Amino acid sequence: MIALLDNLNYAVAMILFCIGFYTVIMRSNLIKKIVGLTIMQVAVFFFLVSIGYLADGEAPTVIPGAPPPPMVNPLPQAMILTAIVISVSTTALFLSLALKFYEHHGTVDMDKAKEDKR
Amino acid sequence: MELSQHAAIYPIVTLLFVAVLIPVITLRKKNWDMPLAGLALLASLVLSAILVPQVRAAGYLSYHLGSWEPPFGIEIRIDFLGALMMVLISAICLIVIVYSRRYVAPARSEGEKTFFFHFEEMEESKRPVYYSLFLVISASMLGFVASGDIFNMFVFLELKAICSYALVAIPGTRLPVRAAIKYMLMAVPAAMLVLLAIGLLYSVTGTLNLADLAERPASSDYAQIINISYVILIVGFAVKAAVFPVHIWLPDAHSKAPSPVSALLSALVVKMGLFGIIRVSYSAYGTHFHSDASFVVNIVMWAAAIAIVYGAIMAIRQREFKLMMAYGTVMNIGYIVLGFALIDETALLGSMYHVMVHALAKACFFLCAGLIISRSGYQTIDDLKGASRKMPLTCAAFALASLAIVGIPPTSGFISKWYLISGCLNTGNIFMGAIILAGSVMAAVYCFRVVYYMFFLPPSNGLWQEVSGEGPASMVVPTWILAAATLALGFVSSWVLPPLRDAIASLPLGA
Repeated sequence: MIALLDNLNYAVAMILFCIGFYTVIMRSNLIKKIVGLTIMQVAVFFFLVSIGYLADGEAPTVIPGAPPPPMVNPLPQAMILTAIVISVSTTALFLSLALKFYEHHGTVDMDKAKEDKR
Repeated sequence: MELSQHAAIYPIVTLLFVAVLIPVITLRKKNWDMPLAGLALLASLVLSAILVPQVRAAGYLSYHLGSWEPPFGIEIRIDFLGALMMVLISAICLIVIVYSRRYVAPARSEGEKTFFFHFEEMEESKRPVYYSLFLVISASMLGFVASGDIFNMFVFLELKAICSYALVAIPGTRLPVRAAIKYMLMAVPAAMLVLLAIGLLYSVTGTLNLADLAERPASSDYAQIINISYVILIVGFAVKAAVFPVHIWLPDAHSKAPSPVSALLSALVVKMGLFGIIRVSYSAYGTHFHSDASFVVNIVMWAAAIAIVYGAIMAIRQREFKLMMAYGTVMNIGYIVLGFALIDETALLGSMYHVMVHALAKACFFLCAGLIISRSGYQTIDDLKGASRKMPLTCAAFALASLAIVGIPPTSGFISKWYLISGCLNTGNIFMGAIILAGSVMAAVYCFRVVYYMFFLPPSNGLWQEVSGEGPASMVVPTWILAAATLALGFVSSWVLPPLRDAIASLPLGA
């Protein structure tokens, strides 16, 4: 139990990831699927940022003369910044495809659109 | 400062630069889009071809982006395998872009109405976007194979993926949009799996550099986490590469996309997932992976064997020829993954060679399909009866490429299968060798059936009468270059194979 509390960030990230994955698989509504994908992406971002976190850590700057303070690892944050850009463009593209889907089928529900065989 | 200092990134940067320029320039000069894109790809082909002898002499070429030293900064690291892939990628992209000039252009006269079947509804405003996306996807593939940093690989993988979703959906009609949505629903979670695995790996090793990673996992205490991250990474890449149980997005996306895009996707884009698997397994996880995670590799091997049989059976069952070709890709992915999963130098050599063979032959297939669709609008295999009477050159190119896909001796397909089967025999997997042979027979069934229909059967009633003849030279010639290349690759194999063997021998394989 204590081990779980110590690693709460991992557990939360995994639960979020599973919620997102469930939404992608089980919901037939395209918009909800996109929301699910975004939740999955956020879960992974959260996991990566929490790797680099250090309690009472400071920004990684070295002041000449002073001993270096405990620092937060900046690399995961830089990675996540890149990944967020990718995630935003993916979501934007997906939303525009959902709009096209709506234009063709008159619905964003994939199960309903399946019956529409033209 | 010397210009040659930055030689390693020129092929990538040129393409990205021109990709940004195209939408701006076409505001004024409408017809400059294709020449610009073609020139950029030609330049990147020359620039990557220059790298090959350099890489061959030095072993690998290392470039530090922003002058940050490798373990801390991002490294571009081109080994012979990467350099060869760069040449292949830029050559095929160049050929396909020349082909797509007429494919995406508006009809020139009334008589040409049926010519541009797929792009009837594509507005002219989409054309610069099409070329721009095409250049970005080429650049991202070049970047992916050249990358020496696992996170950089992820970034290029995603750049490539976003462009490919957009290119599948670019006609904007119903079926391509649905195919693109299906593709995204599978590939976006897969990308997140890759990122998750990179995070896990980074949390226990503290490095992202592939060469640095190769030394660290074995000495790390967190063997379990490394194994888990390996499994997640393989699953993520397998979705991108359409390995058997997660291939279901591929047939739709590859058959509903415009034909030049299908050619690009089938020939190169799915190969990136495979290249990722191979790169990561041998470079990042190094010798570690097959001692502890050999059961993963075993599962992958069986998945590949099923992919070969399943892909072949589904290809035989299809009625639309583009769907048949797409299932053929599922099958050939099976070959390549099998060659990797056998963990044998000869098999891996066959597998890397098959990447090239399949890239050329499948691109040729889809370009032939594009020619037939754009001239006649026919989509099913039954409609192809008697096609050679009107389009002899296209049909002959198809026949030549299908020889390579089946693996008839003088063509390059024979050589890759030879090495794959010798690899099976080396490792004692007789059964897998039998699967490869059975796969070849089934490939012969689905390819030669089409060839037989084209050449030896009369057209069904009324078909092919309105078709006036071959497509324009700018479409037939690229198709023929690819067809001839599948044959030529068989003859120059004595020139390609030894360096490739050296490159593979330098991977940490045995141990």
